[in-house]
Amino acid sequence: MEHLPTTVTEVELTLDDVNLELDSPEGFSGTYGDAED
Amino acid sequence: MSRAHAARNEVDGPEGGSTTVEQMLGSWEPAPGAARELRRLHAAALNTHVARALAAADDNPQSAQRLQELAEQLRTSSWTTPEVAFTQYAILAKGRTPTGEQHSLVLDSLSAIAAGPAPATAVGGRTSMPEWAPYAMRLFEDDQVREQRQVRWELVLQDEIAERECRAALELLADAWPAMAGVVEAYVREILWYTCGDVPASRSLCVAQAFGAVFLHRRADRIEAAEHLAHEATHFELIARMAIDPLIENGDAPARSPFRAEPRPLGRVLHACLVSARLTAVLERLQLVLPASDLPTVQRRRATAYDDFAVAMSSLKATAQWTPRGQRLFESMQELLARGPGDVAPS
Repeated sequence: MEHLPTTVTEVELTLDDVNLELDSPEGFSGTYGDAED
Repeated sequence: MSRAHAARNEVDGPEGGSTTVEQMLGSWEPAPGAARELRRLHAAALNTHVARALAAADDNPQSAQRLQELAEQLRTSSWTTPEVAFTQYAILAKGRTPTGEQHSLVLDSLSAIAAGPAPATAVGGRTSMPEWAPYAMRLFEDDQVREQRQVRWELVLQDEIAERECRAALELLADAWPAMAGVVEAYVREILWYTCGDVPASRSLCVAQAFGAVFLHRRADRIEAAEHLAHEATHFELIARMAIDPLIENGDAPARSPFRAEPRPLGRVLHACLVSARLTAVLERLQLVLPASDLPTVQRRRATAYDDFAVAMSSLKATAQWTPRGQRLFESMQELLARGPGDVAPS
């Protein structure tokens, strides 16, 4: 297991904790029209 | 792990005291120090993965070796670029091989990342169009078509007025809410603009395939731009959070969204929820620093954001199956919602 120098109090997060897969290919459209995500 | 590093992880913005990534994952509140630590983890994984994939596909043993060495350096990198995200999600993840030019551009990007800390948010200034920008706009176009809008967009790389308004927006946000401004600074690497002619359309957007790039409508003024920057930075931060923990076990389940007529996947509703929670508080904060002449617009926007937040929370409450961290986040947002529409900004 690879370890990043990133540790938090409760859990040590590592590179293996990062899931790079996208849940959706869609983007995020914002406000100020009347449509958004 | 070094003690110095652990200490830095726990130092946060002027408002939040010390917040760890673990604590931040269960809270709606912006915590810039923890946000930068989360960015470090997400970026290091993405950068390393891309460098290794390029090395594996390289026929030249010498350049493959250099890429492997770069990948090793990138394990401790702390930021990434839209170029790297585009390479991962629009090229490598689709089984494609980067062209010579694409390879060269992403190698430049990875080398810059390995060489030093994240630069400040770039407000315009590009002289040539990066490939990921029209790619993002085509995703936006598809999204707007789902809303029965035929958008004809045009990207804008440089615009004196838009740049001025965006710089003013960053200053306004830093004045109104330093912690939220810190999250924007952590995740937004670059701002570009677009126009949509006369067609009503969303006036900001971001995509994971160009992670770190925010696209704003060319004529967004500083107040509107400040809202959009907080909005899109929250999307980026939540993408990074959900790379660590899905937060919702049934993220694909359809549910009511505050922003859409049709049901949306719950994971998307969570995005809408955290964004509208943050916007409710951002707009509350803006009211405290803006002149009276700007208040009617901001108050109307805040009321809308709170209503959106309430709808999203109702939808999540009815349908979401939370992970333990997701449950903490939901409870945190419930506390915010319970404060009501008139008193949402933390003291």
